[in-house]
Amino acid sequence: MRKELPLLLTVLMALLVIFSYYSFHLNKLDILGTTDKWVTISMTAAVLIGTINLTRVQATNVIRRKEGWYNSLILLIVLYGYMILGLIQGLKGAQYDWLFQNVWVNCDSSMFSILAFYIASAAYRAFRVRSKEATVLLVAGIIVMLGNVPLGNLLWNQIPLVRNWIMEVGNAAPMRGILLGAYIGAFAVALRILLGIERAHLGGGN
Amino acid sequence: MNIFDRLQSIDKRILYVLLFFAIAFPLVNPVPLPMAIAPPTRAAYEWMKSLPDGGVLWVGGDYSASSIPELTPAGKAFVRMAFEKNMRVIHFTMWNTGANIMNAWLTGVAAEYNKQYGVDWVDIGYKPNATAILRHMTSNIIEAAGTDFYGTPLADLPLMQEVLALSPEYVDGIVELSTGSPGSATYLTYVVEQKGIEMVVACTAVSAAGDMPYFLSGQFKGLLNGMAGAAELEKLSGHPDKASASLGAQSFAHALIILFIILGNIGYIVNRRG
Repeated sequence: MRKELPLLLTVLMALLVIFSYYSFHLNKLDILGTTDKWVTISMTAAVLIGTINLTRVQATNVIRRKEGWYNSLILLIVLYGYMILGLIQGLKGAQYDWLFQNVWVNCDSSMFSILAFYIASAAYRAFRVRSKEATVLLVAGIIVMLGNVPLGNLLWNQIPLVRNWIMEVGNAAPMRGILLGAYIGAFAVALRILLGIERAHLGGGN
Repeated sequence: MNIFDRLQSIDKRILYVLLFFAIAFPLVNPVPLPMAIAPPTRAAYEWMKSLPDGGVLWVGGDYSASSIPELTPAGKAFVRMAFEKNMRVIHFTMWNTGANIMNAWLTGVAAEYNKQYGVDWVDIGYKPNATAILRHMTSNIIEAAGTDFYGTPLADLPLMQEVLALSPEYVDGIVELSTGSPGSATYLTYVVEQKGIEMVVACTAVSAAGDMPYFLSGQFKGLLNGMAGAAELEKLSGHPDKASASLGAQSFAHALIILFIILGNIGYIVNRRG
């Protein structure tokens, strides 16, 4: 019953949502509007469960003085401090917004800016003309890099046109194939879940 | 170790320092460079111009701080064009990190044009389970979202009393600032294809390859490719801003990386033949 009931619910809900899209009468009943609310409630509950679980794990680290316990303490202070501030002040509260704009935004931007340096180093070391395929990749990469900035246009005004061709023909054709393959795969997985063949989402082993 | 071995293994710290100056110098001393307009950017610009004066533009701000340099300038250029056409602007984000970022610059641009909040523009902000909320808004915005960014009931705002649903009857077009999922594909699935509203997308440069097929198929009416696309729209719309100013830095950085790649390959080819 632990497997059958969730499976039955999955199949029933999936059929209800699918038929609501295609049936005029079910669409009129606004079943999708109701299920949207259920999803919101479920996700909110998931956030609560996640917060409780995170607190339990991190608090254990602090209480038992495990290695790096001070990181767990900082996490808990930031988690609950920012949560309480947000609950009191709202999204546009002076201190809440100040912390977001001046701490979080800068930290997030800095983290991704550092990636530029790593990518530059990786590109220098990895891009070698070791084979014909690697040479094609290298030449296409350099043209797109140059075509994406005004310098390419300054060096030779045809570079942006070649870049456009690479993006709109050389890139788009295989990308369409990849996307089609991915969506057919996603459809197949959805169908397997709907038919009860795929049961990994129910958890547990045997 | 000969010179060609050295060319293949230049200390990465040298590359880091040079890259830092290649980015910093043009930012401090902007270098004007001639810019070619890519067809997807021109299509986005023409689409914006074709929207009716006084209409309603829906802006999706689905990004976080890491994409601010690429997407905020694009968003500003679109919203400036909209306000110049006396269009009303409604913003909604499916990213919780996007709410405060979008509100900060939208407030600034609205102030430039003396636009009144609630009448000329509304910021719905972020709502939990945003994908389901977005789908629900295609039939009823007030019921789906409830309140705006500030916690004010949407039903109390004059603009939202007029714009009842995210559908072609009320909204003339969508500008989506997209950096991943949920983003442009979410709008495509739940709004563009089902409701028939036209949409243009500004995406990060890394997403452009994946978004290009949708532009070519006509599902996106225009596509801005990263910071370069934003700078191109700034140029076309006559509002040069941060994207235009930053393109010099991006040019120098790209040139430096290409130079290092060429040096590494010269070392590799000569050594292989030797």
